[in-house]
Amino acid sequence: MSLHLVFNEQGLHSCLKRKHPDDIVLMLDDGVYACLQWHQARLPSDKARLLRADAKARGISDAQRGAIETVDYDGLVALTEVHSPIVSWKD
Amino acid sequence: MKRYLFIVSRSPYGSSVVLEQLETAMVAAAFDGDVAILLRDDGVWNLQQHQSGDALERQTLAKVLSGLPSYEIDRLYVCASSLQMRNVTIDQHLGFEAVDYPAQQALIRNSDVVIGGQP
Repeated sequence: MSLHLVFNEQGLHSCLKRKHPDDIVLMLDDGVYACLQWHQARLPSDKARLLRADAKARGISDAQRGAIETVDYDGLVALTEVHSPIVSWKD
Repeated sequence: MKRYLFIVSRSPYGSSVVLEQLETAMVAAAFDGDVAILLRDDGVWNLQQHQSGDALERQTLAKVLSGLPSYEIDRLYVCASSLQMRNVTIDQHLGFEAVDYPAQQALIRNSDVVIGGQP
């Protein structure tokens, strides 16, 4: 199963067209803002993750995050260990 | 043999990113990687006909693409929607196959390593 690293909102847009429904999307950097789009598109929260430090730094609220889980850096590493390939989306 | 996919999403002359990506792809192929290229979004501008990098004293990206098969890179794909949105028609002898989103999804899932363009 693939892991998609989404670095901004445009990245999510490009990723959503090309990812398998079972794949996990990790939003980090400015990508954490894309959790709003994620909810608007009514995508399943259990397929998404937010990088905790980036979400906290940008003031992403619990309401904005909804049911999407956050992960710390160790969690990010753990995700990269169990998924392949890993795809970065920055535009 | 490792299966590599290089996803090119940048236009040819706005930066040197695409050329660097293609050079990396050639190196991967030289080390016996099974290399595929996917052009998406502004990356499809690399296929535009009548390019002339000479005008900017740069390499012509379409020509670099045409040379890929001689590096044993012959799995060449382009996003059909991105082509259509930009009204780009491709030169058939470049050997790029237009593929829809489900085919791109399969391409990603069937790769061991996926490398996108980094700013």
